[in-house]
Amino acid sequence: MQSITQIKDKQRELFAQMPPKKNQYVDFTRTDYSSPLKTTIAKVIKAGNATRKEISSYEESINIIQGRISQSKNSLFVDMTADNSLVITVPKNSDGSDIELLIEINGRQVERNIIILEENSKASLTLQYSGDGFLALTTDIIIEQGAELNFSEVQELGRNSTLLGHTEVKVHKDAKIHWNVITLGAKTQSMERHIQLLEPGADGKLVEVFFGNDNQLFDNNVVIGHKNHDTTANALSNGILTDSSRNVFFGLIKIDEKAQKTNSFLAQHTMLLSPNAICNSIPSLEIAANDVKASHSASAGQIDQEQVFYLMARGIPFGEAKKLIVFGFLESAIARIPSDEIKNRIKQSIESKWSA
Amino acid sequence: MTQTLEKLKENYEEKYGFHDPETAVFRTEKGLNETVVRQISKIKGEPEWMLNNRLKALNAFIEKKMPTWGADLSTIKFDEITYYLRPTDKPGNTWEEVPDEIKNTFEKLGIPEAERKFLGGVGAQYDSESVYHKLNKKLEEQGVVFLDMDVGLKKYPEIVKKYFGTVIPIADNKFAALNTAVWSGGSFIYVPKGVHVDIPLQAYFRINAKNFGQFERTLIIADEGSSVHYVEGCTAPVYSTDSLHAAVVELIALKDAKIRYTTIQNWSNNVYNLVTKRAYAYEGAVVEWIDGNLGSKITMKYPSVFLLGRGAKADILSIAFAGSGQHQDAGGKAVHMASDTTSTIISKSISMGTGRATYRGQLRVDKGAQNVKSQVNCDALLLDETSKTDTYPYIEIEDETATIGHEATVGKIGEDQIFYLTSRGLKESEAKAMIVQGFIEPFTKLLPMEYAIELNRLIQLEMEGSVG
Repeated sequence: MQSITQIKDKQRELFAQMPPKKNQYVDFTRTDYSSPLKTTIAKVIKAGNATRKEISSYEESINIIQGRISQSKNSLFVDMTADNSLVITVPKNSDGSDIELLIEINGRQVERNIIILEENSKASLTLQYSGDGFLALTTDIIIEQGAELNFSEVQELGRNSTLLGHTEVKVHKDAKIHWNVITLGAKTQSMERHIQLLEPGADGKLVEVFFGNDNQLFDNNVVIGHKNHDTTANALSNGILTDSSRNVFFGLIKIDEKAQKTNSFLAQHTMLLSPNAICNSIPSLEIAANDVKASHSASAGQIDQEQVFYLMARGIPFGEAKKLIVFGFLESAIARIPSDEIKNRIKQSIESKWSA
Repeated sequence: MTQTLEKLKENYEEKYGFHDPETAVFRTEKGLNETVVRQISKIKGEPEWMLNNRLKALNAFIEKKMPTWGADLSTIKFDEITYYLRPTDKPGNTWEEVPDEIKNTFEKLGIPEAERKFLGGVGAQYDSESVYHKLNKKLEEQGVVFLDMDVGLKKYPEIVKKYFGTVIPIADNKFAALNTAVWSGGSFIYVPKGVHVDIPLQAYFRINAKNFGQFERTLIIADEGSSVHYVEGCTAPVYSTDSLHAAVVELIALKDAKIRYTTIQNWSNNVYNLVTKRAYAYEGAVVEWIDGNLGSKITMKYPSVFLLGRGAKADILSIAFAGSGQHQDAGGKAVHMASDTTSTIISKSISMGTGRATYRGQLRVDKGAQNVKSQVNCDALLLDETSKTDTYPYIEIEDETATIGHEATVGKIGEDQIFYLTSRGLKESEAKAMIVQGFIEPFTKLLPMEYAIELNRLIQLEMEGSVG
């Protein structure tokens, strides 16, 4: 057993070796990784019948997570800087917990969240990001046998903010996650979203939508790991870019040798609404089993003129028609958020972004 | 599976895998250094600028690191390789002039016969040098030039100097630099304005020596409004030691010209095939890469088209067949730099046994290139539990008027399809071969007829006994 010091040293070493991401798409070399950072804990607004616990020892945290399958610069950074974690546990066989967490940033912060759904439990979790500053976080989600999670992330950070994150979801036997991501705020965001389907019957769905304007930069990475047979996944990323905003999407479906009879789909669609907007999309596949169905698709284009025409022919003015189409494009993720209050707020912020 | 492999090996050895005694009249020492490069240049009696090119490229090769992505190239031993080997003193214009041993090789491969029947011109390269080059008289009279690259440089130094290395710069990548440093042979084609070469020109590349590197260099220029179809085929003997093939192919399609470049790569399974292929397509020009990869140990090859003029069009059709022990890392690139340009990339791969097929592609639309349309489709078939496939499509869009679509699917042969065919009296292996042939049909139907037949035969051969 390695001591905590050894683990931390190893992390520091790995972190130093892993250069900040820089390629033709993104440049994180100017990201300020220096301390001091304060370790904060998300505010629990609603917990339903879930329990919350704060852990101040890193050792205890990593024991709960039992290691991450994938590492990234973001996750290493959080692990080597923060000891505290917030652990939310949804008890066995409980039904319908509605959990709301709020992360408010103010300055330079680092945070670790751990969410556990015990066997056969059901919950919905909404994680909201607000405030202005720098946030690095990891969220580890463990969904035990037969449990189901409806997970919504709403990112409405202030326009000078930087968000670096890594979320890893482990899905066990016959368990499910339905993950909805809405990305609106921040100046720069780099998110790693990994779903690991560990046991037969595990199912992952991910719908992410983004709306970029000004000079926002979104770097979204999605990895779907099929670690076992009879697992299924469906990931969709839809977005709109205006002004000089840019979205970089790197998606990967990875099917291991023993993951036969899996079914996986990954799609990315971007609407470009300005001559200066840029979209980069790399939906990739790595497949080592043969009895599988795996496919992906990607597209980029302007607003469909036929749809605009259809609406205008029904008396809707041009501007309004465009807006309807764009909002419809984003609706796929928003519709699944349980709280009407949050839903309405998101619609308002999209509205104000649209009129800007 | 083992049965198939043995069968395959047997068949390859019988048909392509034989080798002749090495009777080279000259060879450089093993390994690569400035002396070797100077020697090659001196033997060829090259102009000063070409020697300088080579030396610059040698430095670039030494400085550049091995690619850290893609297939595993760590096993290439650059010091064990012979970089230049001269099989004969002078290339022939008739098959009679070609030395007997070499002629026998090409006769076994059926080249002279093919020339008589259906080709407009033939080039044959044996190790480092071209041994035969002949162009149909009618085409010659129309001003078409089809020479081996060394002769091309001597006869048309201005054209070569004007275009050589303009599409693929000296230091483009490590293997392009290696090629530029030690290149020898390859084809030089110039099609004058408005001339249509309607029967294919063909080059045949053969590696005979062991631990050898073949570095042919091809340059094709299609002048305004002309068209040409070029076909290349490659084979090598089966040795237990590895050989290296690092070619550079540059295509230039001027205004309204059309180039179709077809490759049937069937190197033996001890050849590293690391090739850089790129085309410039000017206004209204069409470039088609038809790229079939069946052989080699490792292939890394991504034919590219830079669409430089309004209305230019690129079609890339790539098929890869990865058998046991093979890694086919292939794909295509389209870079849209002008308005109203279109591209289509279709990739079909089949992985069998422990084979691994990778599609790696790039689609780029530059800012200001308006109304670009592009479609990329990748389909992969996995035949065995141990087969692997990857897809890495890079899509970069910087202009909002582009319409881009990409799709990829991976699957295996459906039980129902096999059942359907076997219930009609076909054996399971025949059924599988038939399904695979259907899968790659978009590719075969673009080949000259006799190639399509040959390809189907090869696939049948590879599929035979793959059941049980």
